[in-house]
Amino acid sequence: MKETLRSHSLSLAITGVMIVAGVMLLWRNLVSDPIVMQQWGRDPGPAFQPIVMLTLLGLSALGLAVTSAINALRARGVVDLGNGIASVAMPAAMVAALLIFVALAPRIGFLACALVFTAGWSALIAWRDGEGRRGIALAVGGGALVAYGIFTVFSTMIGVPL
Amino acid sequence: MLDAAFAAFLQIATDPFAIGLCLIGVVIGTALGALPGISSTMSLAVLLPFSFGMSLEHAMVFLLAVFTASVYGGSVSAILINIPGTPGAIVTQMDGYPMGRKGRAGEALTYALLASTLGGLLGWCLLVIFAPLVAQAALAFQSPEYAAITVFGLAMLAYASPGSTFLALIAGMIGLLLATIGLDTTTDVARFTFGTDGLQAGLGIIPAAVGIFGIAEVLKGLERGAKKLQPVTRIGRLLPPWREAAPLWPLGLRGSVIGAFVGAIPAAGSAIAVTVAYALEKRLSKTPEKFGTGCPEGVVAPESANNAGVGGALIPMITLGIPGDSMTAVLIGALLIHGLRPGPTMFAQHIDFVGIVYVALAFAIVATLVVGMLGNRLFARIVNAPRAVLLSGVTLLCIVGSFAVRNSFFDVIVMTGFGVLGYLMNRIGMPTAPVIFGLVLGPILEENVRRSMIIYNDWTVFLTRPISLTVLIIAIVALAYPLIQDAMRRRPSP
Repeated sequence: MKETLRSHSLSLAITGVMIVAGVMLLWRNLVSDPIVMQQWGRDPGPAFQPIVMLTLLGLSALGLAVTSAINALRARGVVDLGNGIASVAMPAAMVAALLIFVALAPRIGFLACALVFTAGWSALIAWRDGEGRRGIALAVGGGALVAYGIFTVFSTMIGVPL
Repeated sequence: MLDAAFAAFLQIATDPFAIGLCLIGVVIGTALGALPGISSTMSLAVLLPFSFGMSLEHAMVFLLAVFTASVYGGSVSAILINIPGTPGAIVTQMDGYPMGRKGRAGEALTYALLASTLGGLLGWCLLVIFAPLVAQAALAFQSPEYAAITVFGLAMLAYASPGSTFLALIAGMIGLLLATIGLDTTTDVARFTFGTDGLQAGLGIIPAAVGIFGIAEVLKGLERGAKKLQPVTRIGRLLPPWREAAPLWPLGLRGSVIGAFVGAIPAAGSAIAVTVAYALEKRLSKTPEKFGTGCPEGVVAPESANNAGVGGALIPMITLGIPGDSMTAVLIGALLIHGLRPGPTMFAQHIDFVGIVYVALAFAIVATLVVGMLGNRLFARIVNAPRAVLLSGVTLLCIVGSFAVRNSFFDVIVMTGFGVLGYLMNRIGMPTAPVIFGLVLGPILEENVRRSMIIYNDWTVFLTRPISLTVLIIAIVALAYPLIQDAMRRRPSP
C-alpha cells in the first residue's frame, strides 16, 4: 500500500515539475513577443488571459510538486520503474505508429496506410493477447475489412477527401 | 415556442431521411455504448464527422440519437460482462451483473431499457419546461455576468469531478491555457504558435476531444492485457413479471428527478446522479441488504437517473453555452462547426433550432426504446466483439474523425498529442474532462472579461453587479469547500 502511495506521489511530483517547466517555457515565449505584450488601451490585451492562467497554473503545479515530493519522501517502499516502462511499450508504439501514419498517408495514400495500420495493429494485439494462428489471421482480415469499410463510408458516402 | 416545436415535429416526422438517421444513430449509439471501453463521449466524438455533410437539423437528429442511445448502451456491458460501457453505468453493474449471473440478464436489460426511457422522458420534460425560463433570465446577462457564469461552470466542474478537486482545477487551467493558442480574436495577434501555421487557427475542440476521450482509452487498452471476462451467456426471457415490475415506477420516477436535476448542474455528470439515486433507494428500501445481490431496484434507480441527465445536461448547453457534461462539450464543438454558438440568444434568434432539439431528443428516446426492445439479444452479442479489431478500428475512426474536421493531417497530430496527454492524466488519476471544458469555455471567458473591461474600465464591475457577485460567491464556495475538506483529510492524526 505504502509502495503504491509512494509511486503515485512520485508521479504527481514529476507531473508538477513538468507542468512548471512547460509554464516557464510558455511564459518566456509570451513575454519575448513585443506585439503581444504592448498596451491595448482599455482592453487588457491578448497577453492578459495567458498571463493569468500561466501564473495560476504555475503556482498550483509548484504546490503539487512540493506536497507530492514530501508525501513521496514520507512513504516508504521501493518504486519499480522497470515495470512501469514495460507496460507503456505498446502505447508508445501506437503513438509512433500514428505519427508515421500522418507522415506517410499524403505520400502513399490514405487507403494503403489505413489497411496496413489496422491489419497490422489487429495482428499485433491478437498476438499479444495470446491468440493462435487462426485468431491472428482472423484479426488481420477483420482489421483490413474494417479499414476498407471506414474508408468507403467516409470517402465515397460522406465525401471526405482522404 | 409551441409553434416552433410543432413545426419541428412536422419537419422531422415527415422526413424519412431524418427518421432513418435517428434509427441509425440509435443502433450505432447503443452498439458503441455496449462495447466495453467506448464511452458515450467517445462514441459521440468518433461519429461526429458523419454529421459534417448533413444540414444542422439532420446533424442534431443523428447526434442526439447517438447521445441518448449510447447512454443506455452502457448498461448492456455492465449487465453482461460486469464492465460499464459508460461511466454512468458504473452503478448498474452492481445489481445488473448479479441478475445476469442468476439467469435474468434479459430481464435486467429490459429493466434498464424501461428505466432509461422513463428517465429520458422526464429529463426531456425538464428541458422543455426550464430551458426557456433559464434563457429568459439569461437575456438580462451582460459581459460581467457571462464571465462569472463561465467561472461558475469551471468551479462546478472542479467540484463535481471524480477524485481530487485540486487535480481537476489544474486540468481545467491546462484547458484554459491551451484555449489561448492561436490568433486572438479581438486583436488578430498570434499567441503560442511557435511559427507553426497549423496553430494559427488554434486547437480544434473535436480533435482534442477525440484524442483525450478516444485515443487515450485506446492507449490504456493497449497497456493492459486482455482482461479475463466472465460474460453472461444465458440471456433468458426479456419481459420481467408484471408483479415485480409494477411497484418499481415510483423508484424510477425518483431516480429520474435526481438525474434530471443533477444533470442540469454544469459539469456534474452522470456518475454523481446514478450514485445519489442508488444510495437514496438503498436507504429508502425495506430490504437494503438485497442491493448488490441482483435486485431490479438496483438497476432501475441508476438507469433512470443516468438517462434523465441527458435532458438536464442540455439545459445549460442551450441556454448558457456551458456544457452540462463532457458529451454536451462535444455537442457544442459540433454546433460551432455548423456555425452556431449556443447561448441565451438561441431562443430569440434560432427558435426553430431549439424546436429541432426538443423533437429530435423525444424521437431519440422513443427510438431507443423500440430498437432496444427489438434488438437487445443482438446487442448482447456485441460485447464479445474481438478486442484486436475493435481497438485498431476505433483508432482509425479517431484518425478519420480528426482529419475530417478541416481535412488536415495537422489535426491528427493534435489528436495524438491530446491522446498522450489524456493517457498520462489517466495514469496519475487526473480527470481529463476539465481540459475539454477549459478549451470550450476559455474563449468565452476571455472574450467577456476583456469586453467588460473595455466597456466599464473597472475591475470591480464583477463584484458590484448583484448577479455576477452571487454567481462568483457560489463558485468560490464550490471550489473552497472540497479543497478545505481535502486538506482536513490529509492532516496527519495526532
